[in-house]
Amino acid sequence: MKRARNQEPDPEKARRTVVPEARRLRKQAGDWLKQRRADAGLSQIDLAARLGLKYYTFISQVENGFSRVPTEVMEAWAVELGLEPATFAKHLLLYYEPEMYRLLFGAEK
Amino acid sequence: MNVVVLKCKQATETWSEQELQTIVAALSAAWLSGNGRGWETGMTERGDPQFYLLGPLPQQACRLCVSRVGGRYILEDGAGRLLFEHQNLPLVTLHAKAAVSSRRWPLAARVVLLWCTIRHTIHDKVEPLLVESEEVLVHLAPKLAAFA
Repeated sequence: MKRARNQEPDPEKARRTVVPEARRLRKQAGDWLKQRRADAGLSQIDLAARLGLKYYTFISQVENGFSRVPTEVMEAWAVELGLEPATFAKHLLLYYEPEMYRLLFGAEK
Repeated sequence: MNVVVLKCKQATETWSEQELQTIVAALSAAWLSGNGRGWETGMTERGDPQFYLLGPLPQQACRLCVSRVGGRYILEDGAGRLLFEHQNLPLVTLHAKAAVSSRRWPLAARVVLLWCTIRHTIHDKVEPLLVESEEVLVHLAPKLAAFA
């Protein structure tokens, strides 16, 4: 997926050339979600329709790693992908809140 | 629920320079300054362009997202809430600006924004109806006159 990247020039620019860990993990979560959706045989439009969204653009926002799956739709998202909600939420927690995941489940993956 | 998928696609799939300039110019003063705030662009699976306004470090989560779907601009927040949609990009960016700096916007600016939105809505939805009814009236008037 082609992306342009732009930020305001400031003294922190050099530091920001490295993608922050949180963003890198969100992108990994997005890639995982995209794969699960493909496994379920759904397009982004199909999934959006099943989740009751007017536009499918939010699915892309999440899968591109810029946003998280909101907690309130996590169960529905899991069900539409044919996954068990608890497993789905636990797997996403690994990416979204790795420290919380470590505290709750130790080092298991 | 039906997902809106507009078939009319624009010639350019990615953002044009002018579109990007419009969005960035509107948001630069209100949002794009310091602490890792920035923006990126991407695409949906169907090739519709997206603009992501990123929050501060360390998360750099998407604060707002502008997408162009079939010539219509969709403004959503980072949680997927639909904030505004219109085919007029400057109007959409006005709403984006209001969304990122809602606390700092004075009442007068909000009133102007509301006025612009109402004016565009009237222009887009009400005017075609008026024109249509006017045409019907033009066709029916001679017949009604004949009956009278």
